[in-house]
Amino acid sequence: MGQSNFTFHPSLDSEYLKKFYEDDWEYAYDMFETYRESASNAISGMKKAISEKDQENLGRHIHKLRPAFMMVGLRKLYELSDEVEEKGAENFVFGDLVEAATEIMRKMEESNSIIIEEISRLRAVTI
Amino acid sequence: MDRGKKYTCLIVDDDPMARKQLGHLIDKVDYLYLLEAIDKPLKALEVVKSQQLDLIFLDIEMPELSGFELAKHKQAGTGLIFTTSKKKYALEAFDMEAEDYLIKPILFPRFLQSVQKALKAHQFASPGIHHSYRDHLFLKENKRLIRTATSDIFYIESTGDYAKFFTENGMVVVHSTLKNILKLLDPSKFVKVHRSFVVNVQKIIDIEDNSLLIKDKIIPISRAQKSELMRLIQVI
Repeated sequence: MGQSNFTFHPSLDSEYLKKFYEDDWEYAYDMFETYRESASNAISGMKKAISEKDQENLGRHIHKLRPAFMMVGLRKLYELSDEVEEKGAENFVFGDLVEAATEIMRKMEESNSIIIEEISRLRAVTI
Repeated sequence: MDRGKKYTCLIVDDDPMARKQLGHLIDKVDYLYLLEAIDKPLKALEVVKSQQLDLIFLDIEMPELSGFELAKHKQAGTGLIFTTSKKKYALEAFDMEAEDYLIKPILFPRFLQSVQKALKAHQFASPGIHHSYRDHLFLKENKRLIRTATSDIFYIESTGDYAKFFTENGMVVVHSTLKNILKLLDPSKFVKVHRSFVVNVQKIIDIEDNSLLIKDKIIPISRAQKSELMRLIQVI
C-alpha cells in the first residue's frame, strides 16, 4: 500500500481524496493516471463538439467528466460541471454552454501540472 | 451469500475512469470476480445474453444502447446495479428491478453495501461460477483459449489493461489486471512483487537486493512487497 502519511497537493480536495482512496495509493495512482489520459481526450472531444456545434456531445463530455473531477480532487471543476448537469446541457443556449465548457477546459489545463506532479509523487510511494 | 464462492461481475460503461474505478472496487472484495469491463454496450449485450453473471454494474447514458435497454436482456438471477452521474434516473432504475443505483464517484463503503444488498437478493437464484485455485487456467488471447498449467507460469507482467503471461510454452497476452488474475492463483505460490509483476515463487532462480531472477528476466521487487515475498520463500 505504500506510505500512509502521503498528503495530496493543497489545491486538491485532500479530505475527500483521503476518504475516497483510504490510503490505497496504488489505486490513487491508477485513477490519476487514467484521469490524465481521459482529460486530454475529453478536451479534444469538447473542442470538436464546439466546432461542430454539437450540443448533445458537448453536454455528454461535461457529464462524463463531472465524477472524474472529484476522483482527482478538483472540486471547483466538479462544481462548474455540476452547474451544467443540474440545469441540463440540453436546456442551455448553445453559446452559454460553450462558455461553460471553455471555462471548464481552461481550468482543466490550469490544473494539468498539479495532476502530473501528483502522478509522479503517487508513483514514487507505490514503488 | 455462499461462503467460499466468487461472484462473477461485469462492468459496462463507456467512460474509462468509471470502468477503472469499478474495477478497483471489485478487486478490493475477495468474493467478487471481474469477468470483463466493457466500453461498448452492443458488445456487452452479447456477454449479457450468453454468460451467467452474478452482478452487472451498468452505466445508463451510453451511445448506441442505453443501460436501461441493455438491462432488459439480462438473465434471471443476475443482480443489477446501475452506476450513473445523474440522480434523475433513480425511479426508472428501480422500475427495472435494479438492486441499487450508485451515483458516481462511488465510495467503497457505499459500493460494498450495494453489492451485499444485490447478492442477498439473489442468493437463492444465482448459480454463479465457482472459482477455486485450479492447477490450470484457460488464457484468452484474442479468440483462442489456451490451457495453461499454473506450474508452467514463470511470471506475469502488467501493461495497462493487459497482462502478459510468460510460460514454459511462450508468452500469452490477456485482457485483465494483475489484481484480477491474482484472485485465480494460489497465494502460496504466486506473489505480486512489484506494481507490474506477479511471479511464481517456485520459478525464482535467485533474489538479490531489490530484484529477482526468473528464467532470463530480472524483475524489480518493490519495498512494499518484499516482506510478502520473503514470507513465502524458505531461507536457510
